[in-house]
Amino acid sequence: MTAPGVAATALVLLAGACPVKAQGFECAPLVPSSARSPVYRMVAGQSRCEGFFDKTVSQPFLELVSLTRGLPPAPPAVGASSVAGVLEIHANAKGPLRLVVQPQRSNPFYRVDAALQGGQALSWDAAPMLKATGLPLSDLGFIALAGASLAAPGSVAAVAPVAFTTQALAEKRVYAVVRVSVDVSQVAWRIYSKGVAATPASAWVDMPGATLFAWQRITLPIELPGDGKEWSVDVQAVASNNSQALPLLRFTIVGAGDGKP
Amino acid sequence: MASPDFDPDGKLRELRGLRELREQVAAQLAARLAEGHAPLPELRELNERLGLLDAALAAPVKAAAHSTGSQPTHRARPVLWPLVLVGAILLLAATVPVPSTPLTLNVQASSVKLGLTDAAVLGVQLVGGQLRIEGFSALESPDPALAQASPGEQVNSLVVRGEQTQLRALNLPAGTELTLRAQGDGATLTVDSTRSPVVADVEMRGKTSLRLGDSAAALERDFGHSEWLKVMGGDAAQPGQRAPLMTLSLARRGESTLRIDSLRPRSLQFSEPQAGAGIVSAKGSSLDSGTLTLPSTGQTVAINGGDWLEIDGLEVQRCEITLGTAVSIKLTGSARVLRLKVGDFDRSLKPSWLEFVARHHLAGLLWGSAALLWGALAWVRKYFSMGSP
Repeated sequence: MTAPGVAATALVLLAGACPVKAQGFECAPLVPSSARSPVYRMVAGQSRCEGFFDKTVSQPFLELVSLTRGLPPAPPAVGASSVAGVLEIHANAKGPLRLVVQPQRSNPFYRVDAALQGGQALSWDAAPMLKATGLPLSDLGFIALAGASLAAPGSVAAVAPVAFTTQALAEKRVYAVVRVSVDVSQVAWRIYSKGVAATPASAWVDMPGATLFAWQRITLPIELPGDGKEWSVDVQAVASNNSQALPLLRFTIVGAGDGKP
Repeated sequence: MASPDFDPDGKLRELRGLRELREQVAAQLAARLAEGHAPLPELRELNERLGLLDAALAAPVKAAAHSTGSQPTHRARPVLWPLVLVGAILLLAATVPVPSTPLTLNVQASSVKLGLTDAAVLGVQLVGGQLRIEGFSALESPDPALAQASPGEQVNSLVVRGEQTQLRALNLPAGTELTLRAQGDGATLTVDSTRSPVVADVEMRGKTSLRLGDSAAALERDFGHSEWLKVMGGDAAQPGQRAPLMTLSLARRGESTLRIDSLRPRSLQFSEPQAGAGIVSAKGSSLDSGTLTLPSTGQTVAINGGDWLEIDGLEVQRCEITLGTAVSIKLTGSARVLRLKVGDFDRSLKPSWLEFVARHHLAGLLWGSAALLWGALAWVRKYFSMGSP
């Protein structure tokens, strides 16, 4: 190909790729709300999607709504910051992440998706979300999904614990908040090294007296056996009405050493 | 000589004579005028004669135009064309089918083959007893005994029999043909995918017996908490490669049914191999009964056992499949190909544009506007022909 030809092709490629590359971030495939505003959509000029959406639920399930280092309800950054509601979000992982903020309660269906870079702090203003939903800060759940693009449906989510201070990044204990869609009589969890078969250390931990009503949440204090590794977590709940186990909640906790590129 | 009214030749001859006479008179008038001293009465007389001859020449031409054959050909053409146009449009509308037709399908069959162009996930299915999976290339589980019992590629079948077993998910890559078959107290899912990997996620709880491969002894386990295992057909690193054919046989729980509503098939086929002695078995229709409703024409087609139904180019709004003693399909959407074959009688059920517009009362509108156009044209023609001399 001649030089002008190459240049022209490069220009065409650039023109075609630039709008996509410049954003580099896409909203989650949610149905924007038909009843409440602001509806879930990309915030102009930012790598962030935010708003109300619609959702229908059929099968009983367990879901992860928050995974943080340090206690989730009172992020210390709030008091320290001069601007009320602005949180410093940190995640100890390599590469791009997707911060998902959603209410820990089942209602309302409001969600924030924002681009987060592993090892870099993100200032996120919680005020618009708190104002729109009327929820206190302690009711918000924070998840940092590894990888810039959304995982394929059916795959196990890889998450990095969210910290609200740089000091908290060093903490070994993470808090996973999970929610059930039906009444359950038993909740248990286990953590094990990814790819390595279960060991005695990875035995199931039963949550004492865990009887939850539908849409109730429970906080699981999970001690990470080490850092810089990838850990698999399984959470089990047994439905009250038929003693049938709900499909396991499975996720992977990524550390600084193995964030997905 | 025949009457001039009925003899065109005589008429013509007469006209020719008049024309010659007119030329003579005109020449005479011109000559006398040129001479300059001709008396005025003579000139007047010649001019008047010329006028009379002109009138006589003009009259027969008009009369001829009014009396004979040329009238219908002249007048009919403009009056007929709206009729021809409407006819042509209707003929075209009656023969050209609409590109896509909405439909509601409600059928029972012994099996159905779904063509899935996009990747899909089949949701949680509870297994009542035994689950058998064949045609995978890798197995993964955090349970050490299970991981040890599946050394690499020798094992490609698995039987799980337990207190609580569920097929948690079946991940189907794009370009998959999924055949669902109901038989007695169970169901069979056959996954034929052009891409990799096909992944089946299984979860077990309570006393469970697992048999890997055909000859291996069963592995007896008691899972106090849930345990999971994952089998994969095809290599995830090579998504372009064709996955091995995976078959999953699930026992149903008593009267319960398996329910699938997460799939959006592009095509539906109702055929199954007929039991036969020969090596090459004939294919028969798997349809038992049902109805097909076409809202665009208000038509409801009864489907009987043995009919062939072909649906392709589907855009599905709702697709509910239940696997009980039979496969029951409730589907709403629109299709580009919709054919029903009863015996040797094969027909497309897609309505023509005419049927489509007739349903929407547009045919009446078309006829009405054509009649109006026709009437208006006729009036305009009549008005102008009366107005001109």
